Amino acid sequence: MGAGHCTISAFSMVTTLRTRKTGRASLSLVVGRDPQATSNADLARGLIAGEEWAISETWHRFAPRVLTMAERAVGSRCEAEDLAQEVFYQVFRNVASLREPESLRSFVYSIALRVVRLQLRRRRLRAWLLFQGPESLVDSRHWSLDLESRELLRKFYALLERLPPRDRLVFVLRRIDAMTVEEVAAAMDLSASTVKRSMLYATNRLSRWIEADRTLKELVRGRFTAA
Amino acid sequence: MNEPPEPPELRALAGFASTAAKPASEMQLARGLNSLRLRLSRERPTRKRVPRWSIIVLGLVIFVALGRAALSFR
Repeated sequence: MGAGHCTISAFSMVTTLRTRKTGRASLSLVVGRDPQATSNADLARGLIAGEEWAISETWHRFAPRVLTMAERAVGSRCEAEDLAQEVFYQVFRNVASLREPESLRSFVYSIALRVVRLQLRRRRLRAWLLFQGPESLVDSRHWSLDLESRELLRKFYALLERLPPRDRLVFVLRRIDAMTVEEVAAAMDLSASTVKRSMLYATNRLSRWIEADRTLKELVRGRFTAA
Repeated sequence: MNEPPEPPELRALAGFASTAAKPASEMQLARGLNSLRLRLSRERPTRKRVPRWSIIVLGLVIFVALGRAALSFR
């Protein structure tokens, strides 16, 4: 907001002080716009201008999706919250470099995917340095599920930990997040054929590992065929 | 290139992982926004030099790689 504007409540009403050529000042009440109805382009312009409402609205508009995607990718709610903080910190710091304000959504998601991928790489490196197995990377404390479901998820995420970060992220976005090949390709800045190749690699590997793990196979069959 | 067929176990596991991630509550979102605002208000300009931790990590990586290579020759 520029000088001469006084915000009464967040977005409902704005009191504007207008100075005319005569030198007389008049007060007029104008109805402000609803931030939820703001387009992504206006939101991006608000962020570039450093508007407080834009920060709040960007968070509320995109954070739920980023949090869910990060949780599905890393398998931990706590870690996903930390990652979301990092994602939006980077978004607010780098939003001035956004050439097309209309593409704010893809800008946020591309940063989110970059941050998640970097985190997966870091975890892999940390596990390699500390001689840890993939099971040790899975944090199952936050899952408010029954013991069997938790064990199932823990085993599944332990298998995902064995995949390279790019293939893992492609698999998660395609199969767990239900994105199309084109959407995954655009979000990760890859070609559609690379996404399909990554999917093929991830699916083959995961299928083989599930086949080799009799306990997991029985757990899945017992749970999903009985239902 | 067509997408590969998935075994039913993998499909079931992926579907289950998809439903396990619950949407964030209003309280979680509000808490996250507060933390973010705090971080944004505390930020300082970063120095443009190689951070010390990266040198330490690089040294550690080389050390462990050499250790692993040595162990594999035993």
